[in-house]
Amino acid sequence: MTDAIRTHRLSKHYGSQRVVDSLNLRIERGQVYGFLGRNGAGKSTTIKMLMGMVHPDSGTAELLGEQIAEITPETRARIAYIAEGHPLYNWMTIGEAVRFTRAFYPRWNGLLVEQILDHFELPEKKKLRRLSCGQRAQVSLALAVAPEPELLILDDPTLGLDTVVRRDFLESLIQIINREGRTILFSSHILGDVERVADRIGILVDGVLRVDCPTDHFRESVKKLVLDFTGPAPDGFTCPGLVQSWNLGTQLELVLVGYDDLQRTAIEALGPRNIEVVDLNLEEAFIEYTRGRRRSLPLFAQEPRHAESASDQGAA
Amino acid sequence: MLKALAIKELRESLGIVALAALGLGYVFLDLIGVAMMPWTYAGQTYFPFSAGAQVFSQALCLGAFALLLGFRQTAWELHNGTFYFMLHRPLPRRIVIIVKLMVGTILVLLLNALFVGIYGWWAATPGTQPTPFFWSMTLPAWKLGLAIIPVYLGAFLSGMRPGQWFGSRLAPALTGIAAGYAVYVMPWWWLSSIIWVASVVFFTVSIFYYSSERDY
Repeated sequence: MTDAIRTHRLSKHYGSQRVVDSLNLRIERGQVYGFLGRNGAGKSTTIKMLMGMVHPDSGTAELLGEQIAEITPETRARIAYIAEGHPLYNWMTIGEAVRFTRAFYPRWNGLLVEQILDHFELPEKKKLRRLSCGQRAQVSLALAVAPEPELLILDDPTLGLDTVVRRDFLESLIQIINREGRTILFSSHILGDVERVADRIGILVDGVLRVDCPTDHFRESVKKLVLDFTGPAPDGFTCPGLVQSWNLGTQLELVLVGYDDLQRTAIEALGPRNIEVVDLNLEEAFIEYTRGRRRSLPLFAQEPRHAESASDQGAA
Repeated sequence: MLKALAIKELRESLGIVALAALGLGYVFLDLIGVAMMPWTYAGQTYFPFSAGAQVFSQALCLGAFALLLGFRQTAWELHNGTFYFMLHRPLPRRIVIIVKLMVGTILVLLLNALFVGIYGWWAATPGTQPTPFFWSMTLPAWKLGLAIIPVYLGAFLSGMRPGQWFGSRLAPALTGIAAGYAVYVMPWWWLSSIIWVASVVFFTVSIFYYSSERDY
């Protein structure tokens, strides 16, 4: 079975700035993939390249087995895309937007659209310009899923939504996922959202895919260690998998990836009075992992199928 | 699908069409001697289709319409991000552009035809004005309508083509105006035709090139 999304050394520069750097991404069919990264990390550019909105400088990408440069309208009909900010034609009513979009698709689940609009209490006669940000997201979702796409690509779909609307939006997304077992790639800044729906995550740091693993694996692998010393904490500690360290006088705080015996031995050799291992949630793990020394971050791609991807990323 | 696209383009152009129709309506009323403003002279003062004021006013209204329409169909969509909504629909990107260009070109020609037709019909009606009138006198006005097409295409290309700064971004629109002017003022029909065809081909090829090659 082919992957739903596959990129090989996908790169993009804007001027001298490398926005996406040799990205190797594989998303299997049926997978829900959370695409994470700080502002400017290259998430939106990657998604735009996948959708053919931005031309890569080098590398290739395939969606549902077709090269993005040669994707046919028939294949495109099987792919839904929600762009950042939910752009819609503001002069249209919701009903007009539905009828306009329906005209392009051979398959259209009108009942599903009705159900979604009804669930969110969106009247068909309401102008899109009168909708709140959350309501626009809901309309976008309805329009995206109506053609029953096999692949949904969502660029920060919950951006700007309040907590309640975001929760509603995600609940709908989860229902859609459960219903059909579709492949979903979505980028987000909100880790709680990702944690709820994604079974695999990728983290872009300065255009490099540093993490590509199951969500739980990432969360469990990043640990924070607090070392207490009787005197001043030592400087310049290094060991494999160290993301960052802070010297706080008599305390040394370390953030480590894949805390194991080798690291434990190296840390114990420092002679701390006490070692506290702190488990992190996904958000904390993400923050600790991405705010450190970026270019030297340890990679997450220990699984065999991603070993090739990891070695191609060109990182430490 | 094509019908939906064409209707969308027409709906989005309605405001600009209404403005242009108002402008041309004002020009027409002024030409036939209806005083629209307290300070304007009431009474017909021009020979039909032979006054510089008519050419200037007609060109101004249609030219402004063509410029606004070209930018509305491209830069507006880029600015609002609606190209992201439109361009990933399952149809070739060139179809979207073709429909836009077809609708825009038809609107420019239609507005011009309406103006020339109504003004000509008025001039041809006995008792409306004292000078002789032949429909062949409308030929320069039709030519002006065709000369506006490069202006429209230039504006469309300006909206579509990425530019480092405002000046270079506007270069196609300015080129379109220059080409349109040249088409109109050339006294030799064959030279006007060559300039018109060359500019239309150049703009159309460039539009398709940038619509497929640019980053959105």
